[in-house]
Amino acid sequence: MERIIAGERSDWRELAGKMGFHFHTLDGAPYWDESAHYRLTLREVEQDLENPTEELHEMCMDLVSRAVRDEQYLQKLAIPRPYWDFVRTSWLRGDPHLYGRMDLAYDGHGPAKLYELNYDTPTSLYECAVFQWVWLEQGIERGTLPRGADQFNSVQQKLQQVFEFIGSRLNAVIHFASIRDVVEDLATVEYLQDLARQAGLRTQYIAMEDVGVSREGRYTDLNNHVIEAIFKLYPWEFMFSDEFSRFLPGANAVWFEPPWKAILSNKGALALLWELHPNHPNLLPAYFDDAPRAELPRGWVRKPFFSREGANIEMSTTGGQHLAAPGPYTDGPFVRQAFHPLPAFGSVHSLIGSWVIGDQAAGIGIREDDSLITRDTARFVPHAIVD
Amino acid sequence: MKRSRTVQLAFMGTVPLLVTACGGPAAGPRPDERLAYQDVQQCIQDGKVSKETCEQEYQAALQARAQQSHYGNYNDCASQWGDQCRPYVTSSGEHWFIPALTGFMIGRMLGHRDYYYPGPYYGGGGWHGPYRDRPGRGGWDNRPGYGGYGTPPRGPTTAETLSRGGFGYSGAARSSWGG
Repeated sequence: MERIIAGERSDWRELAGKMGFHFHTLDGAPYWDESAHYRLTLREVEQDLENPTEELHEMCMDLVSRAVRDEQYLQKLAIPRPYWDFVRTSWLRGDPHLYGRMDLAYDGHGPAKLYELNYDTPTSLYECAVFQWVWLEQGIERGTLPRGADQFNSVQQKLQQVFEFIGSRLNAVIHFASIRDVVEDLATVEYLQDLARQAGLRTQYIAMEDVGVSREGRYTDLNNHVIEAIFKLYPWEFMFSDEFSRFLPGANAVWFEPPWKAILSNKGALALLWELHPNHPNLLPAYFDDAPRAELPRGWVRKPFFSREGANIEMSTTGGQHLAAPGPYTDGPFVRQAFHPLPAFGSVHSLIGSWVIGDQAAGIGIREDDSLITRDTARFVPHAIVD
Repeated sequence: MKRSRTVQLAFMGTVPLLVTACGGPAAGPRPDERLAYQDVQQCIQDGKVSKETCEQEYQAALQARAQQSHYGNYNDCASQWGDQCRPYVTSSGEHWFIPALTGFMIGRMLGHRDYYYPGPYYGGGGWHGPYRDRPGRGGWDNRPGYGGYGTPPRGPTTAETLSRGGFGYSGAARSSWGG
């Protein structure tokens, strides 16, 4: 695995505009960054990323099936008791899921290590599945990448398969919901909605804030149609603390992601994975943090259960350096994970987001940051497989 | 090939996108032009392809649409699709009602006389879903919403909405939460 400095396509911004990729620059800083790319071998991709991703995913599915049968797990994961049955039933009934992303530390040497799971509301999907893919195609076409170059990225193809599968079984409009006016989230939702429509599903966008509730306790859209199926880019833990949460068990809606994802979108899952699979080569030691106010010893990272985009992560390196990222997630329980530095390529640190679509490893997107904690400002950098 | 064979966006962005991967053993023809129209008239006026092609591609998209959803009478169709329903006569002379097409797309392939359209996809053939068999995971056909193959579609249910705005505010209070 190498980091290659290379020239940008002169016309990529124009292309991004045409393709609906409007958040390539965020607050004046680049988000899409093709001034460099990563080059991996097929062996690195298959043995070190694809296979471990599927194995870790199987371990996650096993964890869910244990958690729904043992209340101690649900308790440890701080899932509110009124929703235990809701979560449990959704797994036991076999509610399908679309996608998830796991963040892996990997630099071409040694096993990839799992940092976190983003199994409920993962983003950076469209730029990975589409814009990165087109980057590779154009690179081959324009001769800046070798003719036989490839990419670990069948995200679009696998999402299409999932939607065709769902479309063959679901006889209802799927509503697609996100928080109003968040452009990056809207793009993720638009992209998934596009794929669902291509698969012949009927879809309807609704802002999360516009969801209504009927006299019968069912959710409704702005046309007062009952919401029978809904994709929400909005985390389950927020759903559970919202006012309308009390209607969840009786609303009889099909959810994407399904309620059982609450078990995996929770960093407590990292501690449970380590408990179930101690010393697994792709896991880092992780424990529930019983003393979150105590000083963090060297060589540990403290993460809130529900933190996203690196917020509220506290890190004490093996060298004694202390780092802390600000954020809103100051309440709630924490886990401690063994410090394992992000791979450094020169002055940048990179993190691999490995996608699981419908239970299959589906590709990767690489994010770069200048800090050891990957924040929401991390740049998306494309990759190619070249042997 | 470790990447998607084609990437297609039908609605996102200002132009429809359909690109087939180049290189690799599974490569197909590359589209050199992608055209999207609302109806045959618009296609003809644009003049990029012949009138016959416009009509032929429209019919193909319509046929794919009809295969996906069709109803024996107007009311069944309208209960599902509202005023979007149009009569359709099959090649064997059956009279159906089908939901109207909102548009169709022609991708002209370099050096080929093949055309692609982003009609309602037909999954057909061999694919049994990505979900592996797992104990306790087989029941998802047996619930409202999941009709299974061949179940007549149900119309949207309307209900009086008592209140809105009970979701989405935990997120707004946070400065960042996307994954």
